[in-house]
Order: sequence, then structure tokens, then C-alpha cells
Amino acid sequence: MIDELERTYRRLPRGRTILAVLVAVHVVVKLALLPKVGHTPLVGDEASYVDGGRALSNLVRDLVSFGPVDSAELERNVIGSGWFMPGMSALLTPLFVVDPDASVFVIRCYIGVLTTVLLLLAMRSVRRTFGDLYAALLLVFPGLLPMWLLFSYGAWGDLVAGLLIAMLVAHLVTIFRQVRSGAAFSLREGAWLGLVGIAVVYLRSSATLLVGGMFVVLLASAVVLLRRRERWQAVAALAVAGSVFFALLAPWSIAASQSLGGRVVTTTSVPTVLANTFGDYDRICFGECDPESTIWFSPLRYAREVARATDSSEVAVQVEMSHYARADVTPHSYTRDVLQNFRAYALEPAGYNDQLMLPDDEDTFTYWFATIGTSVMWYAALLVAAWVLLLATRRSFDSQVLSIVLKLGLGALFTQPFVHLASGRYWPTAAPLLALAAGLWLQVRTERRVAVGVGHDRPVGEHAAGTPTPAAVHRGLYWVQLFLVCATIVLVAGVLLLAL
Amino acid sequence: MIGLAVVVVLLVVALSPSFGRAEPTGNYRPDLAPDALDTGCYPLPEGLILDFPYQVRTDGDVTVDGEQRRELRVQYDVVGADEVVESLTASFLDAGFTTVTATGDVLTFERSDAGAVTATVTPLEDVPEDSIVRGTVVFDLPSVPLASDDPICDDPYATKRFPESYEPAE
Repeated sequence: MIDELERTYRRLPRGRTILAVLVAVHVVVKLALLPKVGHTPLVGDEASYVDGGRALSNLVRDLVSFGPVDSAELERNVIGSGWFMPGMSALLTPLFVVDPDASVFVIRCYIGVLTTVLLLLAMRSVRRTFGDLYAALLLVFPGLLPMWLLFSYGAWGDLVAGLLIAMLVAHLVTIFRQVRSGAAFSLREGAWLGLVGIAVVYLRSSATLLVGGMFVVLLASAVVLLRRRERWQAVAALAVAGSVFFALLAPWSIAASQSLGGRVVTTTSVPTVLANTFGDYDRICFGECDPESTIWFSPLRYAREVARATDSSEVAVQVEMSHYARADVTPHSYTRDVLQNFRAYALEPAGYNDQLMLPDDEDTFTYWFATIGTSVMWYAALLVAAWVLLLATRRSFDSQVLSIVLKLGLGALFTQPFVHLASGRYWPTAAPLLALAAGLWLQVRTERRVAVGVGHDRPVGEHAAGTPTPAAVHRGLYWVQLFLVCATIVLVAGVLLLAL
Repeated sequence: MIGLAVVVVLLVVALSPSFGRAEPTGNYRPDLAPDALDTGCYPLPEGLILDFPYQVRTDGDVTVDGEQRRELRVQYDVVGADEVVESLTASFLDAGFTTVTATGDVLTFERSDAGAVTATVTPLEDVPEDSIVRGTVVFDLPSVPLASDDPICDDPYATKRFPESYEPAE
């Protein structure tokens, strides 16, 4: 029975060949799309990340030549207004160290190579933890998803964060399995967790909830499933994870707080984001903001003007602006906005096609290939996402744990429409998790077919004496899933009812 | 192999200053335009200084009863409406104006070269007591021509005189 399971979703016949072919197809399709996106001027926030990379490359030059550091340039281009953490800027830095005047085409080619390398690393992590089928699914979705491939030439951090989240989840599930076998994980593994976690946050600060949530769940499971020395070692390893996380977060938080004169932990954009998403735009600047600019820059300029006039922090001003703009928000208006955001987030997957492809390419075969291909694959993946959010399986420990991790991960990422104006630019962060969801769907189907049940638990080690029995663990994990399913249903029903 | 890669990376980093210097645009943190009343583009009546924290929101000419007037709209910060009324009164008197009427929050002053001018103080109603931004003062002043050839005066965000063609921010 177990052998059949292993054959079905862990070791595919000629798995290595299949993966190699999929990698080759990924590279070919990606190269075929390069002419369509390679020369597209930087879109929106891409400019900020690229400027950050340029300034950081100058920092490298200043340091190696023992010259004075241009802190004003760093403040302006890396910290800026505190809207973005500099993860993508750091990834772009090596390019500008070598080629300070890199053209847009070179920048996009560099990012294209980088994202393919990261996809392969994520695929390797997923394969080690979940097997060939999951790895193959990742190479298909998002590896062959046309819009994802176009985004993979972009300087936004969402897509890269999504790949790292897949690696983080794979690593976490490995640790969960180890914990279930009664053994703690090492300090080194804890440090690695902290490192990947903070990298995700630097790339996409809104993923902080996901990373923090995963750490808390891991801590809870270690306390429940481990005993004596193993329990303390797991807690120590998580303390190392937290230490690494905060030690690497601190330089950014301190620099941004000093530069902007207010407390900044990750980014400063939340107040303005909330105001723009749910508030009354005519009130954001305690009245109308300056015209002709964007809803992001105009309030920012106003906040800086107020801060200058009052010798206060622009961050504090933005918080008060946001409160004032949202004074008339009602549960009805809020939930209606949330639904609109969900539509923009999930139902316009090819919405950025117009911006990423040059105008000459509109209505070409490639344009429609990207639009239709993305839509078909994305909507199929959404169905799988809905399935996994409603899944409560009693089958193997592995599928139960992945079910819970995916619920938490997707749930954390899907909070975006609850706090932020959404668009088709944000789903690449969640896309790799949908591949894992598809793998879980196939795995659970197989487990049902071969009647896997409580008996298929992880083998326990010598340290497992006194830990909960397999039946208790299965029951617990089942109830956790049921709780998460109920919470999802209540949340969705609540939003729909309030929005009516 | 790894050792060789490390050596190559270190070499490239060491040589990077000779490759030139990257030039970030700083577009996402543009320079903040100076206070509209500090530029000298469209000055207040001579001698008049606003002695409370404020930011100019809009400035420009409007037609009132067939006469071209200047409408200057500022927001006051940190201090309350009473303090703003007190401060404005002192500023106008210091600039040689005399008080014509002071009805509640509508203040009218007069000076021979400027004629009658008014300042209407309106506190924001639904802000906490310790709010940074507290209210608005709308000045009705004599229209003034551009008084400086500084290029900054061409920047509507510096003068707060926005062309009618400007659309609300999107």
C-alpha cells in the first residue's frame, strides 16, 4: 500500500527525465516571451527597486574604495519613503556592480535568469520534501504559466517571494515530520528558517503574517508533540530562527525609522494603503490632495509638507490622515471594497498583460496566448485553492500537515484584499502554493483510493516516548483542519452577508 | 570550484569602482517643493507673516463680484482655532493693518495699499483634540502678479496654483 503511494506521488517513473523536460520547456517558453517583455520600460514600482539596486551598488563601490558613503543617495533611493523593503534592490545590486548603466533589457534578462534559478531551487526543495509529482506540478504551475513568465522578468518582489515561500513551506513540512517522529530540529535548521523567513519579508513585506504564523504553528506543534530535552531543543532552534529574523530585520527598521523620523518596522505604506483602499479619497489630505499626481504620491507629498510645517514625523502624519479618511467606513462599505479587491486580485490574472507587453504586441498571438493560457490555468488553480481551503482529511500525517500549512499560507496571502487595493500583480506570491495544493489534491485522491488511514503515520524515534499516540495526533490535526475550514466559511459568509 | 567563484566575485567587487557609478533617479522620493509662501513667487501683502504651523493647500485668483481677488487656502496645525485667530490678528496688526471686524472666526482687516482683506478660520470638526492638522484658513486678498523669475515659480506644486486642466489624483 505504502509502496503504491510512494510510486504514485513521490517517485514518478522516469521522474528525473520528466522534470528535465519540464525545465527545458519552461526555459524555451520563457525565452520565447523575452522579446515581448525585454524592452518594456520599468512599470510603476519597478523603478523604485531598480533605483535601490543602483544605490546599493554605489555603496559597494564606496566601501571597497574606502571612500565616503553617499548616505543621502542611499536614503533617497533605498529607504525612500519607506514603502518598500529592499529585498529586490539587494538582488539587483550584483548586476549594477558589474554594469552600473545596465539597460532595461539587461535588467530584465538578469531578473529572468535569477527567477529561473530560484524556480529550480524551489523545485529542488519541493522535490526533496514532497517528491517528483509536486516538483513537476511546480514546473508547470507557475513554471509554464504565461503571465507568471512575463512577471518573472519584472523587478517586483512578489514573484520571488512566492518561490521562497514554497521553499519555506517545504522546509517547514520536513521539520513537522521530524517533530512528529519525536526528534527536535537543529539550531542550524532554525537559523535557516529565520533566514528564509526574513528574505521573504524583505521581498514582500505583506508576507510577514505568513512567516510569523508559520513560526507560531511550528512552536505550538513542537511544544505539543515533543517531550523533555527534544522540546527544549526545538524551542531553542525556534529562538535561533527568531533571532536571525529580527537581527536581519533590525538594520532596515532602524535605518528607515531614523530616516523618516518615526517608528518603522517593515514599511510605512499601510496607513495610506488603508485610506486609499477603504477611505474617502476627498478626505485623505484632511480635504482633497493635490491634483494630477497619483493617489500614492499626492498624500505622501502632503504628509511631508505637514511634517515639515510641524517638525513632526511624516509617518505619524500619514497615520492621522488615514484615520480621518476612514472615519466613515462601515462594515458594508468595507466588505464591498474587500470583494472588489478580491475580484481584482483573483479574477483578472492577465490584467498586467497590457503593461508588461509593448503596445505593438497587443492583439498578437503571443498576447492572446498569454491572456487565455493564464486565465485557463489560473482558474483551474483557483478551484484547487478553494478545495484545499475546505479540505479536512483524515488520511496520512503528511497530507494533514500539508493541508494545514497550505490553509494558513494561502489564508495569510489572501488577506491582501482585506487591506490593500488589489490587482493582477499580486497573485504571483501565492502561485507556487497553488502547485502544492494541486499536488495535495492528487495525493489525497490516491490515499482515498488505496485506503490510507490513521495507520500511515511517520515512524517514531527513540525520543518519542510519552508523545501523543498516532490516533491522537490524527484526531488533533483533523480538528485543526475543521476549525480552519469553519473559520474560512464563516469569514467568507460574513463578508458576503455584510456586503449585500 | 567554489573557491574560484569566490575569488572572481571578490575581484569584480574590488574592481567595481573602475566600472563607473550607477545613477539612481530618486524618482520615488522627489524633492519636496518649498513652502509656497517662502518662494517669493506670489508674496503675501508686505509685512504679513503667518506665525503658526501651516501648509498651503491652494492659491490662485478668483473673480468675486466682478473683481479679481486672490484666494489663499491654508491648513493650520497643532494649535487650536482660538490661537490661530489670536496669531492672525497679531500678524495683521504688526503688518500695519487695522481691524475692521472680528466676528467669530471671520476676521476683516484693512490697510491703505491692500484694501479690505479677510481671513476665515474653520476648524476641522471630526478630528481628535491632539490632531496634527486642526483646520483651515481661507484668505481673501488682493490679487498679486508673479513677483519672481525663479524657475520654481513654474512648478504648480510649489506655488499651489494648479492649472484647471489638472485632474484629481488617480
